[in-house]
Amino acid sequence: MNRNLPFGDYVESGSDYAIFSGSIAGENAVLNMSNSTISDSYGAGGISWVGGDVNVVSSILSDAGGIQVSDSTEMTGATHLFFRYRLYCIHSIAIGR
Amino acid sequence: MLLGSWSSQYSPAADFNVTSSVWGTASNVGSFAWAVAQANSNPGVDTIRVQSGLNINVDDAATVPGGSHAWLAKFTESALIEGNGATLVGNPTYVTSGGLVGTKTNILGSPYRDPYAPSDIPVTAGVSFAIIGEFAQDNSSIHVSFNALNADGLRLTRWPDRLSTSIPSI
Repeated sequence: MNRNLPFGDYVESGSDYAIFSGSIAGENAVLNMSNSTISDSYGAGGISWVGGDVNVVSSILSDAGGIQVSDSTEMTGATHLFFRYRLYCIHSIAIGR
Repeated sequence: MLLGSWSSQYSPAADFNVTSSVWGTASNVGSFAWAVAQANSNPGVDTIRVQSGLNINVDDAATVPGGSHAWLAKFTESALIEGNGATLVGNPTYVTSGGLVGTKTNILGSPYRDPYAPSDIPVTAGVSFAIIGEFAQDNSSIHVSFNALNADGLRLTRWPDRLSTSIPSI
């Protein structure tokens, strides 16, 4: 691997610095997602969440950057998920401060 | 306090049906945009029911700019979205900080490269399909549930301020 940037260095993420905007984004709210798919969305990423709760089950994020949660987000129910990546091959779930 | 909590939880709710194959606007009855607007204006946990198997094209949808984000849908009240296997397809337009308008046929930037490089041109905001609540506010009363709704190919979007996208030679 010779093109591991930016993940070769520390990546600061949080409410002020999101890695990606997220096809679905929110702050201090509650998101429930089930039986759904976000695919081919490597520009926006999958889910970007700050605070609150994120519950994702039985869903697929394919070439969609995964899930980014930060600032004490309660993430539960992350079962039966399928991730496939084109861009974010390392940070399947990015958890910020 | 308890009464307020109880009454908000059990407020009358309504169903709004999405039957249109285009994103639409708040005034296009049957469109997704209309359903979101209705759900936001009606108290209670409304249900947005999307016609089974519908492909909703967002090519002609213009994102709503707002601060560091732009979006197609913004939920300001709790809602349940029953997608019934429907799929959002296409790409909304997006605008760079230089005022360039990108579409799926006018691609600005490439996803097949590092997301940050010194030659990148910063863009002003990120784009999301759905924003839940208002940023930097307490949205704990807003619960939004998506079930069996798919998004395919909403990829031509802007990076957040901190990141950037490159504009290749055209």
